[in-house]
Amino acid sequence: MPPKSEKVTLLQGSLDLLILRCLAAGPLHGYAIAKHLRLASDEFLQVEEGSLYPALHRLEGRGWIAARWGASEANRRAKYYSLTSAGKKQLEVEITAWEKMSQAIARVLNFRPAES
Amino acid sequence: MPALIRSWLPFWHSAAVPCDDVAPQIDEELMFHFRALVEENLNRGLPSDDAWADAQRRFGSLDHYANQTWRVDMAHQLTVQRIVIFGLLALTLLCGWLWLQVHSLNGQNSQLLELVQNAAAQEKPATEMTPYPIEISPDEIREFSKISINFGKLQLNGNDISVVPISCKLGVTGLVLIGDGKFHYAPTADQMFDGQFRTILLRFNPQDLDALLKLEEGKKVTDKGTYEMAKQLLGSVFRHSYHSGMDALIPPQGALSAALNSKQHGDLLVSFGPKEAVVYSFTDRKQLYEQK
Repeated sequence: MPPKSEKVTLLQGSLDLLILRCLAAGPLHGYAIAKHLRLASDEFLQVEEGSLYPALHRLEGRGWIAARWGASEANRRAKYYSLTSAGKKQLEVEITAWEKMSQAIARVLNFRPAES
Repeated sequence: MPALIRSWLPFWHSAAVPCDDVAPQIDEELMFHFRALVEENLNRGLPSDDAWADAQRRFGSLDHYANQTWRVDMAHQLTVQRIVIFGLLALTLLCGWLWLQVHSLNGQNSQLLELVQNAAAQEKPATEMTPYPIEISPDEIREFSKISINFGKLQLNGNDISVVPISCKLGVTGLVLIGDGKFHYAPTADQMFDGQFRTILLRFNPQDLDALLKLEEGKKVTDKGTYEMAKQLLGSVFRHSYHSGMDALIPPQGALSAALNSKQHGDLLVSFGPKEAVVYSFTDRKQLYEQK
């Protein structure tokens, strides 16, 4: 688990990708999404709630996720988000774009100018 | 209900239904999260005060996040409503424009349609008239230093006029006159149409040719330029009368149709027969005279 002093700034647009990926496995409410991201990244990614909920509502507005109220594990009213068919397509697009970006960055980092 | 329609229902619902319950729902959603954080801390063994304080520290300002989330929702709602309103407005304007176009066309065409219908009622049905292919030739052009045509109540006069005969199987059924001249048509004592012409297409029964113009009195020439001009003219005005496509219908004896271009009247059609007559302006798209 990384030290608490480390502060990770998510790359712009990557939160959308992470949310869509979380929901690919099934419907989750906001708290569960944040917890999943934390656990799946081995506590490295700590998503701020201030970023998470505007992102969820933005994705819902775009039609990539859908929301419905339901009962949580503790039988409380919670808002569950699920991936739509448009969201599934968008997830594939985002993953492809992310992989290309990371490969390009890796090439730049590994670049060694030719020795004369 | 088809899946496609169901998927669009939230879109239209959010456009149509006021969104008064958005803010309370956001509050409820965020409160659920905050409460879950507190429970998580309690499950980790923290005392209740510490569990609450830690949740507050991690969660941050509930009001601030609620406001941010509400803004995202409102922006989406307004966008959807604007799209719907704009779409309805554009549709209304398009329908209005289409109605005006149709209404305007109906007004313009009704006069011409009535004229054509009246002419058709007077003439023999097209099925009783045989169409004849026509031909003109650059080698059959006649030059007249002075021309004078007086047929029915139509008078044509001019100097240095080129005449291109329009021939068919039955004989010469038309003439194209090219050159400056004057025309005069007086169907009644108090109704007159005068002016200068630059070109005229005359259509008549072949048996009326000699009464109109004795072609042999003109000088026969070969003139490809005049031939091309006549061809162009036929392409645009031949269909004004006594035609079946680009084939000629033969007018009855004593009938004449003159499609002319004049300085004074623009594109004019003068057509008369033994019992009827009409003068129509194609430029102004209106009938100037009619006799039934």
